[in-house]
Amino acid sequence: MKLQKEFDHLFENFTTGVVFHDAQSQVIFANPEALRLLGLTIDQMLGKNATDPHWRFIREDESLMPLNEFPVNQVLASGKPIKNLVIGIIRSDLTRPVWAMCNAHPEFDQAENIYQVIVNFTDVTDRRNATDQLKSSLQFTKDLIGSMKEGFIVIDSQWIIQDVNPAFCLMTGFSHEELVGQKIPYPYWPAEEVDYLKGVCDAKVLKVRESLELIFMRKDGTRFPIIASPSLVKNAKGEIVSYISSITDISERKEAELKIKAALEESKSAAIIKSRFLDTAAHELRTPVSAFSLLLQLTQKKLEQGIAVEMPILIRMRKQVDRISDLVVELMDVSRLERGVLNLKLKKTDIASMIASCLDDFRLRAPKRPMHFIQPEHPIEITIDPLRINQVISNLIDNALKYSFEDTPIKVSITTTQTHLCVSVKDQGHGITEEKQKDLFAPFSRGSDDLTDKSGGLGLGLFISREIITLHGGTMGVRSTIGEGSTFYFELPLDKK
Amino acid sequence: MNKTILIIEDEEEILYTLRDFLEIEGYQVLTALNGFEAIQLLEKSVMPNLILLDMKMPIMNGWEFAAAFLAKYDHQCPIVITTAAGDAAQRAKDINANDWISKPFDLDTLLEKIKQNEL
Repeated sequence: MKLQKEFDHLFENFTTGVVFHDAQSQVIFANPEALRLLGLTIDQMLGKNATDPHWRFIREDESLMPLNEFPVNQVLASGKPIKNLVIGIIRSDLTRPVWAMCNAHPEFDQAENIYQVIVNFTDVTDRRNATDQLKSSLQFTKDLIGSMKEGFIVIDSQWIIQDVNPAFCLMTGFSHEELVGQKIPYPYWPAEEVDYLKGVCDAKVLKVRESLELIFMRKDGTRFPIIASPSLVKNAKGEIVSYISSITDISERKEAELKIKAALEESKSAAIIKSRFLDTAAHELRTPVSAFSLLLQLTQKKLEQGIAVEMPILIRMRKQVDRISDLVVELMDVSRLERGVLNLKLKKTDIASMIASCLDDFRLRAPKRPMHFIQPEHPIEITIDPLRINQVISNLIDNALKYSFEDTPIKVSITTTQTHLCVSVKDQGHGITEEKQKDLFAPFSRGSDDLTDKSGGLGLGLFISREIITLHGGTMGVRSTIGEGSTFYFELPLDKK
Repeated sequence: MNKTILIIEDEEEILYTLRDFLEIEGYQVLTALNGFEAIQLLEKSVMPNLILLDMKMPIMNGWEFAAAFLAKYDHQCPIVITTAAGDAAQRAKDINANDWISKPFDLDTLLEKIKQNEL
């Protein structure tokens, strides 16, 4: 009796639920833990069998467990024990199932017939819930990584790719299958970067949260810059198990950086050109201003000393003032062109007689220079700003005179096609190298900028001329041969009839 | 006997205005448009009492002229440089000139400098 009492006491304090069934599967004993797990009283249990509709078990996957799968029924049917079966118990008093790990075994009589089945249950609800939570958080992480715009890659300690996310595939053009299982550095690593990667690994530079700027290669062979932010995953022993890294495509950022850099360089060089131009402008203005000042002082001295002031000194003064005023006009033109406020005053004009009268002015200024122009018999009427086009023609003739030898001729000609007219000015000067031809029409440049160039001016004439022609819808250019001379020309569209 | 000044200056208008002025002031004036013309001129003329030397000139500039002149004539004649450079004093020292006058200058200042330095 004492032994029976001790057994009872043991069962009562068991943390495992124990249920005894007879051969008909009726419950003949259940300890308190079994009652707690099942949520039933001993009266509700005794004499019931497992086919009772009050029993509702679910499988590990939460589907309803059919009667023949109930542990007691399985054991009764097979005569074999079952081990570690996870069962969910649906209880009317609880919204969530209680989970139990279940073991059951048959007891045989001397005739080797089953006379009872002992089933025990261990409460695994907490463990099961923790697993569920882990699973759902793993799924969440996976979904998150899958939906990220950034690439993501997992590499094991042998440098074999374990996983990549869709963004990584999109970025590199490789499919998930093509990448997973491959050994780094291939396939997306450009050959020339391999040494770098090895260096990085050998030097153990790949520390947690240290970003690396690298070049990756797409499947089509094109390259793009990325930033990798690797993290190390270590096991309990502190050994590296895998590397996880986010990969960000930074091509757009790099391009933007390059654009900003180029723009900065451009503005810098524009600033340099402007400042050099200001220097030139100041220098060019200083000479006539100081010559004019000296001439004035000389005149004053003469008057003070009662010496006659003759006409030539006034002409010399006038010449210096003209030089100053030409420079000022040139500066204003450039300023207007740069601001886009140079407005044309269009008027129907006979351009042929305009050229003829322009040449007459030059003949007065340089009487020794031969200047040829065959004026067409009929006037060539065209709608232009006559003052501006005259300025262009003067500029071209003036340049031709300045940059050719004293006794060589200047030839001006005018030709027309159905739609355009072309005016050209030909000299027999040194000619201009192809390299310098490119810079001729740029503002603030001069064909020759060494000190021996006494032609003066700001190097703006051709720039202004071409802008004027462009405003008229025309084009301007130059043909030149070294040693033979240069021809500057412009074309203007004729009025539509 | 009038004193002689040699002006070396590539800006013709400035050169001839200075010449006219110094002539009014009673000097005999020699002119050259660059250092090379000046060297040639000195071969066949008397040694002037002062040389007024521009620095930036084509063909032969002020630096080259000063070197050539001093090599041949030593300090037989004082040199006063005319320059627009900010560090005129340093320029003068560089080429061993006697004095300098900053551009732009007025005629009275020029005359004063000449009187201070002329032989």
